[in-house]
Amino acid sequence: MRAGGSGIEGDERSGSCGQNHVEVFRFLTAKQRDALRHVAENRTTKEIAFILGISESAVNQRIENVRARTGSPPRSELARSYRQYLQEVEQTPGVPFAPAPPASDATDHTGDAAPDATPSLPVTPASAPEVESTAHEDTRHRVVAKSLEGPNAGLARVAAIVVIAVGMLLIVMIGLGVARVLTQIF
Amino acid sequence: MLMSALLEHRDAIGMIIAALFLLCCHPLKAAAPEWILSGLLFCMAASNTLFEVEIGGPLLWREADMGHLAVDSLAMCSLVVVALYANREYPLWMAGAQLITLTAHLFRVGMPDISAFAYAAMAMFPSYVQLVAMAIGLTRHAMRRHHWGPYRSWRHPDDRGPFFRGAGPDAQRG
Repeated sequence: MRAGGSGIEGDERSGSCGQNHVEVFRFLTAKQRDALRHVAENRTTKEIAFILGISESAVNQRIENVRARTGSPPRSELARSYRQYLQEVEQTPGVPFAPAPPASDATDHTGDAAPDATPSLPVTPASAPEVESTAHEDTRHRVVAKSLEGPNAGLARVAAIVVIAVGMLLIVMIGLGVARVLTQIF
Repeated sequence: MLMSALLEHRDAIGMIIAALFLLCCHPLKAAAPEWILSGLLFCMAASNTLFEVEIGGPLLWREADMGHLAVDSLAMCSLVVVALYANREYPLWMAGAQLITLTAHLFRVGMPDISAFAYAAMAMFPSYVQLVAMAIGLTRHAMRRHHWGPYRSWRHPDDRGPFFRGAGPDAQRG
């Protein structure tokens, strides 16, 4: 990758991300924001794909979409720029965000089929844009019970295995007991 | 009579149904846990059958079948690993059923005088629970895959233990 003429380095030195980056970042789709947030945390494409539950090519596509609109900066610079942008948003409540696209995007779970918002969309202030959509996706796509995930998942799962085994044995024993009593009665 | 038949032909029935699961995995776009567990069920049934054919009968020690005990112990280890790390619930049921089987063997070793039928039932019937759990799991995976598209096969990398963090089949293909 090569550095593009986006002026990021100059902006980095001055302690602020470029104005055109701000414009691009403001109008990112929820999916692009998800991907970019992980890029800003210096995660690899593979890790992002795993976390978001999508393919690596879909992650690359989301990142490439943003890079193309920000003048194709290297990924590390894009990460730095987005980190700065998030910091500025946190520090300045007035920094606007475009409204997030609707979460119920039935057409796409792997790629980034959601069309990029155009700058002509009305800009409205939004709060906490960066974490919400991932949490929402996790809730929508929950496969196992919440108690079986998290830092104590291993322990919880071992306990679940034991409870299931004991439960099945109890059901069989109660069933056999009932059958025996019924046999004696009739 | 039905129970006796189910006990007697458990390995053959298990092998046929597990082979069907394996055949269904590709058209249903099964993910890694489904492939692994279907293969494991098939291998368990096949190795039990092969073992009995090779040895010519059960290898008994203190009235417990050591061949089945060995196969079931290995299967238990594999099932627990998958159950701990898969982003699925049905492996927990399969591991729970396997725990009953293993307990039956251990009880038999400890108390050789318990009823042979009770031992056989406790050691063999859980495999039918596993087949049912596998069928439900495969069906639910196919439904989720249809509605959601690809989704995670394994636990979140941050939730894994230090041994598995950063390893394993990260990018899941659905």
